[in-house]
Amino acid sequence: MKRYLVLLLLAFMVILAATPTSAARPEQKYPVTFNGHPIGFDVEPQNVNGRVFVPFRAIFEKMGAKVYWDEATQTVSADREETSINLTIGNKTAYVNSNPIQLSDAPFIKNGSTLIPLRFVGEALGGTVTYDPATTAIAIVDLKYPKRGGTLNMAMWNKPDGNFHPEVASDTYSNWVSGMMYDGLWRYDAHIVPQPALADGWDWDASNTILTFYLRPDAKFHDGKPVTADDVIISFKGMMHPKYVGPRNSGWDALMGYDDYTKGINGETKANFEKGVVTATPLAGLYKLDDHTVVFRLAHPDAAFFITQTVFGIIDGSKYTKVPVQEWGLASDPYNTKAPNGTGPFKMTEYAEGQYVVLVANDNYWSGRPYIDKVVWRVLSSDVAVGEFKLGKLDIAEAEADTLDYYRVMNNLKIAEFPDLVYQELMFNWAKGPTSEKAVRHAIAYGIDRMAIIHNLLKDHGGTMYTPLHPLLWAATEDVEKYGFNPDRARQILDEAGWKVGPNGIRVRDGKKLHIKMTYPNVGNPVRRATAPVLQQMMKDIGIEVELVGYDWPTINTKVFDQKDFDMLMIGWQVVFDPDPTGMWDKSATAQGGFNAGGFVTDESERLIKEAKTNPDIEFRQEVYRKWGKLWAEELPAYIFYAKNTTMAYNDRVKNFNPLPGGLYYWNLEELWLSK
Amino acid sequence: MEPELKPALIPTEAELLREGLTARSDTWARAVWRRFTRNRMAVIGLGILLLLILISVLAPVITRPLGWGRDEIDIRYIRADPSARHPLGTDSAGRDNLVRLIYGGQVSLSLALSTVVIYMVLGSVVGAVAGYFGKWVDNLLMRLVDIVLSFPFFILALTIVAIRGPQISNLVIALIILSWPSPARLIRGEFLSIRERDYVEAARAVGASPLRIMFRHMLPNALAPLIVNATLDVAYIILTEAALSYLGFGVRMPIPTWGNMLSEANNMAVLADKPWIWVPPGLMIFLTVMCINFLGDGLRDALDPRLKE
Amino acid sequence: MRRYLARRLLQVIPILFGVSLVLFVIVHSAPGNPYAYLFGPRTDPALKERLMREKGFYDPLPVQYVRWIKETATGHFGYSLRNGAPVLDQIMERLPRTLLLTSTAFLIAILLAIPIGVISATRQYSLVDYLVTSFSFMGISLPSFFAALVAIYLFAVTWRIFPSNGMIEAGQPHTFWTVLYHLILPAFTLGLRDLAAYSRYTRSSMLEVLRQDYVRTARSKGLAERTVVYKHALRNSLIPVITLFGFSLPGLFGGAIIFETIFAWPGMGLLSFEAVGNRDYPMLMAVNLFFAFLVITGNLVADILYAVVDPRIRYA
Repeated sequence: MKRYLVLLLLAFMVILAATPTSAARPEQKYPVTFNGHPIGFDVEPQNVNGRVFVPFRAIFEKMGAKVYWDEATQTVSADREETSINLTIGNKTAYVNSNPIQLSDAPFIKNGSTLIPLRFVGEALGGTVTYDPATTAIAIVDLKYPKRGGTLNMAMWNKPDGNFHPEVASDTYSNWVSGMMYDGLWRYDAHIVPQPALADGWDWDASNTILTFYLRPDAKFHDGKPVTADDVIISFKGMMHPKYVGPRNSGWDALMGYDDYTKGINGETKANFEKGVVTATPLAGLYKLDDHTVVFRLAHPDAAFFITQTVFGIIDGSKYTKVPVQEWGLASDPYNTKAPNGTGPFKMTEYAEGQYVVLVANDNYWSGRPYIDKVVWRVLSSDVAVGEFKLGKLDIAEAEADTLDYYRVMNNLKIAEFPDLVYQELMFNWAKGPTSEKAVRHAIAYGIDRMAIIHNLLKDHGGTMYTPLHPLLWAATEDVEKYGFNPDRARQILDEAGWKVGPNGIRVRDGKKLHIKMTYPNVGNPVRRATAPVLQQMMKDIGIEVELVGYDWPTINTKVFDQKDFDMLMIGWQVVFDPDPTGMWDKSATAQGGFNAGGFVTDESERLIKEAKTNPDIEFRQEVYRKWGKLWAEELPAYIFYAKNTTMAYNDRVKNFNPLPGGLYYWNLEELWLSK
Repeated sequence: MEPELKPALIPTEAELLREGLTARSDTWARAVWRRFTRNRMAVIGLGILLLLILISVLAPVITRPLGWGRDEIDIRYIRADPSARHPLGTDSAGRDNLVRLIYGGQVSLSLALSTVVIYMVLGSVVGAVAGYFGKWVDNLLMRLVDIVLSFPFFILALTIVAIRGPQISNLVIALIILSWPSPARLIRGEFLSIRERDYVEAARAVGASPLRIMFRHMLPNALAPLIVNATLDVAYIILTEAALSYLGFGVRMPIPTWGNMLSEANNMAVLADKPWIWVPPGLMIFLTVMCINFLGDGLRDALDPRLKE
Repeated sequence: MRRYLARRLLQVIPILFGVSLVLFVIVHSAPGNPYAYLFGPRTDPALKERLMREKGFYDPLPVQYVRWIKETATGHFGYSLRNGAPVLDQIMERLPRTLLLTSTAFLIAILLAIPIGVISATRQYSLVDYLVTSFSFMGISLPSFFAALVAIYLFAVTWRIFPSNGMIEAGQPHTFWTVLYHLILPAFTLGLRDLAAYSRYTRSSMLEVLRQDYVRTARSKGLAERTVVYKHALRNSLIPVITLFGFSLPGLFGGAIIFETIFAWPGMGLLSFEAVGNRDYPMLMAVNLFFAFLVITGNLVADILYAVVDPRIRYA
């Protein structure tokens, strides 16, 4: 578990360091596809003396084989179903099921990857390999493998809002469905590295303020119309429009012309602006160079901009000349569910509100037609999940960790478990009340038996985390005070602060009891709900009287985030793939409704948060966040219990299912296939 | 059938009382008790119910030998299977299920009993006032009754609890707001039929105050159907709390009720594989409600011999 | 009769008005901001403020009520805060489904309860009577959600006779039969409680009638027992059962919340449960008002039926 984290962490560090900041328009020398699905490489295919060599592992894994390397014999091997393949470095004889095959050239190693002659790929596992000298594209097509067709059955535990517009969708399921229908300019790959999608490349200029996207010429909407720069401009301007109502209306401040646009000064005609109609008229910071080149221009560097602001799906702008932005995705938007026109691997064919969504494969998907034909995503009560799996009417669903035992006993099911970008914390009121005293916060932290909570309540489906810089992100740091369980230390801190044990075991100072109200959501997450009384008991042990105040979400929003009427709050957060704490822990987030409800602000913290954004260089940012993390842990505006794993159950007939953290559970749906 | 009183001359109040009520109460009560005890199921129901109440009241004493407090957390035994340490296992926060089962009755029963008593009293007063005064008072109050009776009971109870917060007091208030009209309507009906009776006319004639007439003379006569209704309502409230708990709007943890303990079985798998989670609270609810129904049935037969089979 | 009907219909208006007022006060006394979900994690507070003001969140309650009444009076129930769709559209889509579920449940209950009640009354103290009585006691003593879960476990998961949830199969033709197939399990479990109550009610009502003079007379005249029971006694004992229709409506609608949630039956119950969770004020108001209207209508229908069936009752 721990090792996995570290490995993942390394992957992030290596790859994120190389990404959006400095890439020129990436030219893939030999783009390779398997059944139309692009294959990513660490080491690119090579042309040696007019012969093309391709990386063994990347290609054979994509083709569904398990790949092994034997250091002693310098042998690579791959197994798929009944077939097993052996090649030895520098040896022209390969073996397929122990039948020798003569290669044109011997395999060799470059930068740690084994490269083999392209032609052997087809000979080994079947299928045809074509090389197009004009475009240098290599296409491997195997009509027999993997199995095509079938219907994938999925479950939504809550009814989606039904707004599938990629700019507006707000609840989790609507977002997932939307993600299947609409592609963005880029997308994450299996290593959570941004890869080309509708844009086949992008670059930043030297000043880190001009971001240029080059659209893929063959990207088309479901109706066959090409995706153009205008579509991109309309999609993004919508989220900046003052009439836009949805979760993506923030983070645009750095974009040039954004302020004027929100005031109606430029970007739209007055009539259109008042109505909320969004057009492709350029802004100072969002314009096209030609039909396939779009530019984002920032007033100052914003290191988080690429990850947080440019990931959203692209809509067909021509459909939205009459639908004003405030109606995007609502019942009055005919392109929401009635006639959606997306770009993604799936097309919506039926939406029964509150019941199900049916999506079918997009035959002309630029990244290869999905192997499955159809996805049926039904709204179900999670209470019946086990039964539905048993009946074979469910293939994939998120499973709460405390229900895993039931899934484990079913032998046609598999469990996927992976660390996710979700964590649970105890947020202190930093500005007022008993928890505004640093000693009290520290004592509470030492009084919490974090490992007992992780082990007993979370049943080890999670790991430790000590600052909001999530362990899955490159900015994570462990070089901070971790507040290991130490009740004696906690008592000592309180004693020193003048909180003396009173008659009934509760500490008192100046005649005032150490009484702390702990607000927690009494809905949802059963583990968090169970943690509340456990925490109460732990606090009692160090002489703090905790009163449990359970609310539902709307009440918490008002009491805590609007009115700041709380001492401590148990809450969970999901972070994005950029560690920037703006909006969570900076001064702007202390406003009414802001997420920094505890009011944690120090000059140093403000300075560091701003500084980290000025330069996209990963090492630079890492250094700044390391300092900030240390400061945060010392001030301790919140105590983080754990980072939670996500657990999913799926039918073992589903192959290639590889859910990733950060809600990227269904990122490779087009490559899923059904064995039965 | 009411005893027909045919006074030869206008009686004094004392005489009225003696004839109309006092005389009745003694022999009447005895007759009721005799009729009641003849219904074996009702007696058994009453017996079990009293036992359950006794257990609930004595919960702190009974659970002491078990060694766990009601909300005490056994951190290393969360969602544990039954063992010597926890005979019925533990819940999602590591609290002993058996202890909570015993305590659960306290809240379930007292919540239902107190709610029913409060709204029965409230409803009776409203109904009595409406029935006694008639005219616009009656009209106004009955329109109010109509309004409240038009609410879909469960949905509005859910709305109120969801909106006002999950404290027990809010649950009780929601149930009272929505339940008082039935007894009000019932009492009013009885009053309308009684008020024209001779003994009430007589009391009025000797100058007894309306309050006195209402509560000393009229109410006792309307009591029988009220008691039966109240009994059956206790069962209904217990079930309602359980149903609200299932939807997540019942009495909240850490306070145990049979309803919220049963709602832990909101999952097919628990239902199939972990009977110790749901069988005990389910059985307690079932038993209690069944006993109350038997009791109510018996009371009805005993109080209203017309329905005697 | 006609005058009575007119008067009763007129009464509906002030009652609905009162219902709406009480509802409005209850719904809007909620702490918590129903618009909160509209905003993302980094939404500018000023922008938030402005949107909230535009939506009238800060207006005093009476102003909000008058605005609501005005809209409602024109037959427009506003827009869902959650997905912006007109509330009325969503209710109209879901209302038939809930009516289908509840009326089927009621029909199952009543059609089974009457014969069961009659049989058990005519064979008082027999084994059948004993079984029926215990069944009905169990039926009204079992928590409803629990009965539903057990039913799903047995009929859908273990024996695989009925589907466990939904109303139609996704991606398949939506025929009458698929809906019926999906309807049976939720309707039956929803009707279970009423089935138990009605069979008890029919039994005691029947017993009472069987003791009445005219039945004794009929018997003494030498009429066949069958004729006595089914022609004379049953008809009269059914009269009080009809009033149950009015009484059971609120219970059925309340049950609809639980059963629609468990069975994922996309009706009004599920809609109102979601509206509660989302603080979707316009939706909550409309759903409750619609339910109130249905309950009132149900009671009215029951009263009229009562008058039709029982010739002794005359309304003026």
